[in-house]
Amino acid sequence: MSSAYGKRIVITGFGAVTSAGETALDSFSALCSGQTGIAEIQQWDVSQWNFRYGAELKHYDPKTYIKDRKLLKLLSRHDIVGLYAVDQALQQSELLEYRSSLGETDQAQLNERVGIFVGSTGNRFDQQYDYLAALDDTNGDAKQFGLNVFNCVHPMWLLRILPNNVLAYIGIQYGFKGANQNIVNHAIGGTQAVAEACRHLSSGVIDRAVVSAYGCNVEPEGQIYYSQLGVLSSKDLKPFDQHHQGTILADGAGCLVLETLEAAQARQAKIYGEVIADAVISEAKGVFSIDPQGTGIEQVMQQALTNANLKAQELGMVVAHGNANPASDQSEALALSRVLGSHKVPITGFKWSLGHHLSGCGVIETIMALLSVRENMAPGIANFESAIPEAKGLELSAQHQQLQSPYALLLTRGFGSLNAGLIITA
Amino acid sequence: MTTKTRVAITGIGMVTPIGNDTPSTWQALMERKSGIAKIQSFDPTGFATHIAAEVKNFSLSNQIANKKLLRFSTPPMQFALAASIEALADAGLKITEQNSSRWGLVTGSGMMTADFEVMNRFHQRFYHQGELDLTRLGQKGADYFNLDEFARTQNNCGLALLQQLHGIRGYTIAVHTACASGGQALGLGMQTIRRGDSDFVLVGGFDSMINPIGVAGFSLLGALATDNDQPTRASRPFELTRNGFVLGEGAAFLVLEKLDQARKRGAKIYAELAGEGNTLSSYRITDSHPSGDGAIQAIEGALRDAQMDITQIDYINAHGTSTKMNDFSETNAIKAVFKERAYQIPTSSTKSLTGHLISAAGALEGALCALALTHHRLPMTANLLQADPECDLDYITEGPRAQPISAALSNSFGFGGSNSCLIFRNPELFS
Repeated sequence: MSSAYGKRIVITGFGAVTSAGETALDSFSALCSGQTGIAEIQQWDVSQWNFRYGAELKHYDPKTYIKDRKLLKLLSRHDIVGLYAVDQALQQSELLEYRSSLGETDQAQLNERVGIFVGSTGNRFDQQYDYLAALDDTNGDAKQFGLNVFNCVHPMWLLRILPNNVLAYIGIQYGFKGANQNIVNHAIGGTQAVAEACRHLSSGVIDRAVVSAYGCNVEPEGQIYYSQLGVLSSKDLKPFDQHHQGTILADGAGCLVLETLEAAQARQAKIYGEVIADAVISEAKGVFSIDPQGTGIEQVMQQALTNANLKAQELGMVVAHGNANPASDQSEALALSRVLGSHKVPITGFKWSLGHHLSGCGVIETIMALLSVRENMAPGIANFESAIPEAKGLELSAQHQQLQSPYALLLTRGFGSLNAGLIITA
Repeated sequence: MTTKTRVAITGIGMVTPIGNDTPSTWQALMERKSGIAKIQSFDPTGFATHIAAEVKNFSLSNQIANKKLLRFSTPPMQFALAASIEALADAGLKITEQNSSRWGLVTGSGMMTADFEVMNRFHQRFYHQGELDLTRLGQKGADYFNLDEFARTQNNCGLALLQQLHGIRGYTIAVHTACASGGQALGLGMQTIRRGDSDFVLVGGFDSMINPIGVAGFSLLGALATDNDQPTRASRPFELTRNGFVLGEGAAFLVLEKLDQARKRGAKIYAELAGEGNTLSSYRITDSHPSGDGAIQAIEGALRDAQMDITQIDYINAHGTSTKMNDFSETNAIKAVFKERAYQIPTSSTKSLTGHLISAAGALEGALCALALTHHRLPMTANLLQADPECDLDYITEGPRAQPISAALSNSFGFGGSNSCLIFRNPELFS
């Protein structure tokens, strides 16, 4: 094994809030004890809805998540959730304590060498609803709409919906000023945020990075449209299972603090793990289609392994995308079978418990993978019963599986026939 | 210091408010033609601002055989598809099954703002007496669903369509940091070549917020110029009476590849993309820091990345939005970095003629820097009639200036505080 980045990139902090728990550790222990955050949607009355399930936050409380009341007024729900996970990760990393131990000049220098990389939702449908009142009695007339807008829409509306708000407020709240990217790439955005942070740490423009990814995907229109697209399940999320029927959308966020080994050691930071390699491949199939053979996800696995200088049999576990959408499961299982062959590498996934966070899943699941490797086990997919034909021969289990090595490969897939992978260790 | 792989620009394509391809845009710029006029795509007279820089007489349908691509695309995505076709043809490169995984794609793309017509339909169906009827949405949402419209709302739809149209299968990524998006995309595209992720990368930005929702959002903030009676005067960066920016729309795409490889294949090389500075101001969401803090580090970062010093920059394409704070703060940043030399470096804001292309601005202005290097002409800042004593640099006010240059800096700063500064240079003059 060798780091693909030319230098070691270590994890010194993590935080998450999911439907299964208010922190990363709570979420992890819930999923390890077979619990799921997936339940009937509470944010609105779904009694007349066909697709009634979501993975919502059980204790969403903006005032606890964000202490600054003025700031709170400028934020959307998903920004609030995103920033809450950032707060957790930074607390755990003790980076701010270290910074305040420095002199003024060193503090400023440190800030300029902390980058921020975010896997962003982009926008939610419900952010547009402020305009609905302005459309009353307009008959679609743009002029009348324009006249109405000033009476019914908050003047700061645009600033509340900026897709880069989490990035901006990480900067404003904590003072970091380094290289930054706000990635809007559907469900691989979070994974790419980790990848880009590592690549920027590798190039030397920054020493440290805050990597955030979030998504509050349980909203009325999204629920309708994803179900009509045919990718939602009406009850549960059963990856690679004969009874899989689709995915369940989720709310949540994750955050990682990454540093070069040198930077982490310079402040004697506690090191929880390491990111070793990544890969991103497009199948060029368009917005919604994917290759039924899983060629893109196979290439991602191969490329990530090559970049990490690892063989497939040296992997301790694979965290599959496993979104339980039949077309995705089938193609992913075929690709996993081709890459892993007869090697007995445990395979798991986390979405059966946490739901699908779309842009958030890359970071949230990296954290869950990290905790798994630290516990030396691939948590069981508790609702797993019997594998689809394509997944026969894969080491999928409802029980926890012990790891033979500390290397975890995490896979994510998104619209645009995009596939991304990360290899991490603890 | 390790040697960085040098990156060449070998293809340019654009759709802008002043021209639907690169040659016509450059010509219009040299002829001082403004793209700003009364908005034609909807009746804007209910808003305080009635003007914008719209793309004119644009049609993509004869260039694209796959009609699904057209159905899935918003106007800015169509600008992107057209600009990307032009850029690839200009570079003389074909993406094949064999090399497709060595091709990357990086876009700076716009926000998802609902289509006005779609929102009207949603309003009619599900909004009654001041409330959204979610029970009705649950019952009738299925037959309201439209696949094409859903596709258009996806944050990476444009990226997906570009990948599909050209068969790009390598490292692809879409970024959005408001008005810095296009600049950050170019910088990231350069990095993907340096890192060896790709041998070629198609990189650019596309955007349009010239629709009732976009104009409403910016109008509510009071960010737009309101000179409805004199549209071509409305965007006047660095002028004393400047009062806001003018929305533009369009797309610009570049083809990047290794300089060595471009030379080997005898490609036409517009410029070298030599350095990127990428920082966050961490000050306020809308305003830049008056001192230029954040932007200063980004310019310095670009110089450091290109291994150049302040004496080697001889043109600056400013962010120059025509807002009070940006132009003041940007001028201060240029002074802070370039010291007394700041006054000798010709600096212009092409937004005075093109309007502000938001997520596409940095990509367009980077492309214009490459063209300035090729054509030995510097675009002007139009409309700077009354000097602002606090903005006292050489803003090229007299008209496009015939002047050979060796290196240009392009600035892009976004809401949210992201700053992207890029350095373009003549590769023959640097080793």
